[in-house]
Amino acid sequence: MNGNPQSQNTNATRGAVTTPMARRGPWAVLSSMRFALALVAVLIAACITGTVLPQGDMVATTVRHHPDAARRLGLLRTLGLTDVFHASWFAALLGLLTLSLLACGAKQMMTLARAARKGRAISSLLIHLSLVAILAGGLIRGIWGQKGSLQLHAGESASEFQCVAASVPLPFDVHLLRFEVERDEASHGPASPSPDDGDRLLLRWTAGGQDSSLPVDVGTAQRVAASSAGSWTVTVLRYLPDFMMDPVTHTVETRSAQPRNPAIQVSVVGPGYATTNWLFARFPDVTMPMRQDTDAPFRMVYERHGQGAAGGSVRNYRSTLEISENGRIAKQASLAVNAPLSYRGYTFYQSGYNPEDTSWTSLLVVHDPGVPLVFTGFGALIIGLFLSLYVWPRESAPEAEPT
Amino acid sequence: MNQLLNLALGVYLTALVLAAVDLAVKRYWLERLAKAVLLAGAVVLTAYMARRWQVSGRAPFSNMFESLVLLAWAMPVAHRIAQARLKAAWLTAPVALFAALTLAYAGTYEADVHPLMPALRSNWLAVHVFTCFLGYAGLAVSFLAALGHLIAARPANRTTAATRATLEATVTRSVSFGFLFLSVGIVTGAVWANAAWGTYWSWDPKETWALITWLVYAFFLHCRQLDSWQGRRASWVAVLGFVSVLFTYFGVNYLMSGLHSYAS
Repeated sequence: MNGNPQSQNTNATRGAVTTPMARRGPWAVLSSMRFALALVAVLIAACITGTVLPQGDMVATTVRHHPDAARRLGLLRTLGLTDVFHASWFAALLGLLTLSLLACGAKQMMTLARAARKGRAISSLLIHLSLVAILAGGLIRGIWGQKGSLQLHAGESASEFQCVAASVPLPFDVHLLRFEVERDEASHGPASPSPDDGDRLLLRWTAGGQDSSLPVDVGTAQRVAASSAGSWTVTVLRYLPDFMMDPVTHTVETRSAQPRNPAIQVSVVGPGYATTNWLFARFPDVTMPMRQDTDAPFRMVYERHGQGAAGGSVRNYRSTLEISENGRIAKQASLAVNAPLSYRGYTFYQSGYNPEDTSWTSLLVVHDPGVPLVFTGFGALIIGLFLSLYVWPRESAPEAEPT
Repeated sequence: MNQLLNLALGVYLTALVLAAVDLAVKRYWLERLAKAVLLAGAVVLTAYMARRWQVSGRAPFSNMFESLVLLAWAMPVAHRIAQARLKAAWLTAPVALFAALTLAYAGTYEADVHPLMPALRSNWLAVHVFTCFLGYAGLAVSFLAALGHLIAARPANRTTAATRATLEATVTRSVSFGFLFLSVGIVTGAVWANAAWGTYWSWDPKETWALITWLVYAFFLHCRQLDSWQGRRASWVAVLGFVSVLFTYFGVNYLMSGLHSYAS
C-alpha cells in the first residue's frame, strides 16, 4: 500500500525486515506495507468465510434441514462467523484497513516533495485516498443511512415508510398516481422455424384438477390419461412462427421466421372423439376452426415460453408518483426498474408488484448520504489506477528477448 | 450466425497448430502468422457478436453462453496488449488453446436469444460485463504466463535470465491490464446496483468474490515491491488470483445463490 518511489520503498522494506514489527511504534506499523498486506490477507480469509459458511437467515434453514449441525453452528455464532459482513470484528478490520490506508497516504504526502517520480507518488496517493473515501462513504451509510419499504395502491398517499424496526417519517408526502406493467410489443423473441424448448401445450380439465402440461414436440404423439376421462392422444402436427391464412384459398402459411403470431396445429384423439385445431400463443381464446373441442373434457392453451397470455415479455414496471410539500405539488415523475426517482436525499426504487392487483406497487426507499463520497472515490480509484499502471508504471518493460 | 462461431473456433485451432509448430521449429514468420491468425479469430467473433447484438437489440453479454463468447474474444486482445514490445512467442499456443476451449465450452450452452428481465435492461449491463471480461481475459493471460514462469524458473530447466524476465514482465503487464478492467467492472457494477437495487454493495457472493479477486491482485501488485516476494512467489500469487477468478465466474454461479443467480 506504499507507492513511494522505488528507492524509498526499498528502504522501508529493509526497515521492516530488520526491525520486528512489535518493537516499532504504532505509526510505523500502520504505515508499513507488510502490515497492510497482512490485513489484506486476513480480509480475504474473512470474505471467503462469509461466503462459504451459512450466513444470517440461512443458519436457521440449515438447522431445520440438518438438526445435528445445530451445535456446530452455535459455536460459529458465538465466534461471530454466522453474520460475518455485519459483525463488529469485521467492521473493526475495515476500520484498521482505513487507518492503514490513511497512514500510507500521509507518509506518501510527507515524502511527496522529495519524491524522484512525483507522478507515480501522486497516482499512488490518489488510489489510497480513493479507497479511504469509499470506506468512509460506507461508514456514513452505516450511521446515517435509512432503508425501508413503502406500499401504495393507486390514489393512496403516504408520509412515512417502513424500516425494520419502526416507521420513518418523510419530509414530504408521496402519492401514487398509477402503476403500469410495460410489455414489449415489437419484440417477438428468436427467429426460428421450430417452437421454443420452453413452449408448453396446456390441457385445462373442465372437471377441475391440475392442468396437464405437455412439451410442444412437433410430430410426437403424447398420451394423456385422466381417471375419469380415459386415455387421450395429443399430437402437435405443425408449428408456424407467424401464422397467416389466405382468405380465398384458406391455405395456411407463415409470413416470416419471426414469432410474431406463433401457432400450433394440434390433433386430439380420444374415446369416440377426434379433431384438429390451430391454437395461438397470443390469442388463447381463439382456435381455428372456431370451435374449442366442446366435446373434449379439456380446453387447450398454447403457452409460449417467456410470455404470459397478456402479450410480449415484461419490459419494465413503472410507478408514477406525485410528491407534495405543505399541500403543494413539488414534483410529479415516474420511476421504474433501473430508473429510480430521487427527491431531497430520498431515492425511490421499484421493488415489487402484485400480478393479481395491478394498482398496487411496492417501493424501496433509501436515504444514503454517503453515496456522493463513495462515487467520488470510485472515480478517483479508476483515474489513480490508470495513471499508476499506464501513465507512470512502476517498472519499464525489459528489453525484447532475442529470438 | 452459428457458422461464424464455428469459423472462429476453426481459426483459433489453426492459430494453435501454427503456434505449436512454431514452438518446434522456431521461425519468426510462423510466430507472427500464429499471432495474426489468433487476432483474426477475435475479428470473426466481433462479427458474430455484432450480428447477435443487431438481432437481439441489446448487448450480447447477458448469460453464460454470451459471456463465454466474450471471454473467447477478449483473450487474444488481452494477449496482444500484454505482449506489446515483449516477445514471449510460446504464449500464443496456450492462449489459442484457452480461447478455443472457451469457445467450445460456450457451445454446450443454449444459444437462443431470449428477452431480458427488466433488471438487466440497462446500458450498464454492456459496460459492466464487457469491462469485467476484459479484466478476466487479462488475468487469464497472466495465469498462463505465470505458469510458464514457474516452469521456466525450475532449476532443472536451463532457461536464460532474459526469458524469465520477459515472462515476469508479461505476468505484471497482464495483471495490470486485468486489474484495471476488473476495477472498472466492479465500480460500474456497483453504480448499476445502486440504480437497480438501491445499494452499491450488498455482500452478494458474486460481489464478495470479485472483491476477493481484486484483493489478491492488489496483494500481487504490492508484493512486487518487496524483495522477498519477487520471482516464483509472485507467480504463485498470480496463479492463486486466477483460481479466484475462476471461482468468481463459475463457482459462484453454480454453488451459491444471490443477486447474480441469473448469470448461470
